[in-house]
Amino acid sequence: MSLQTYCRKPVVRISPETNITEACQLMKQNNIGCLIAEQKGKLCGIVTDRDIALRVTGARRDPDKTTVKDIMTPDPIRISVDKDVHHLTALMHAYHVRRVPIVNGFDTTLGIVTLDDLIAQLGDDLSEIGKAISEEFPEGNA
Amino acid sequence: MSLRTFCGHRVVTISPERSAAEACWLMKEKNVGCLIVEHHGKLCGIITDRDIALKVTGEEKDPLTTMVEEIMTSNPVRISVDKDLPELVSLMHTHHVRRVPIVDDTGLTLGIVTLDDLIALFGYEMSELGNAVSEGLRQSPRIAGAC
Repeated sequence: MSLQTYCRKPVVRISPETNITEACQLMKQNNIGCLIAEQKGKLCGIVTDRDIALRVTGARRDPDKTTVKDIMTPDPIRISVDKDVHHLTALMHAYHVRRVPIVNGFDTTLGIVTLDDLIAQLGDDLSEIGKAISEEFPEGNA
Repeated sequence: MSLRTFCGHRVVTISPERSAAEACWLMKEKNVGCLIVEHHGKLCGIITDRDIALKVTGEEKDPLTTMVEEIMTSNPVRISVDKDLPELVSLMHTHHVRRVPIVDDTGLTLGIVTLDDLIALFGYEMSELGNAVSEGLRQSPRIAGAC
């Protein structure tokens, strides 16, 4: 199963030169909590709603004059589209991240996979396993 | 399992009359993404880092003069400490919330439980179950053979 199949939300890209007011509007319009910063088609950063709250609002910076580049996490942890889900969970665990961009060989972002995406898939799988067990052992025969 | 299990978790509270800037500083200092808003000791709202990003910075409001009560979610979904886990899960599902304050019968906040807490708990339980199944198979060649 390709890592891209886990992604439930589209990637929303932003230039690192864009200001934070625009970044907020983009998050609101797309109902997402994180934007992928790309320069010349290559992943260069990631910025979340929490980064904005703490590093702009809480730091009393002007959102019109602060750019994505000023507050993003540069060179974020990423995973190649060729890897499998075990690599991904190990990466999330080791680096304590819950969102990981999926990239191709040119470092272009193909998707973003979150801990919630994995949990949702696992929930579906467990539900199917539960049904299989229930059918194997119908009530009273278990 | 009683919801009291989750009541030891830190709850960080703020008054509705504090500014959004103060809410940010508190979130940063306590390393939390959400604050419980209490008025006269009773739960009246909940505010997250996302509320601050979108409703203050995104709407070009001044964080020093914007009050918590203007941007918080008022009267948030809550659960009584006497309820059980299935009721909590059902509440989260119905209302599409991932954080639920736990209250006593006087409305006092005793704790907050998040979807992440539940996932961590189920993950642990599943791991234990997995181990039990693996050990059962090792100790019972007949069953292992039957598979």
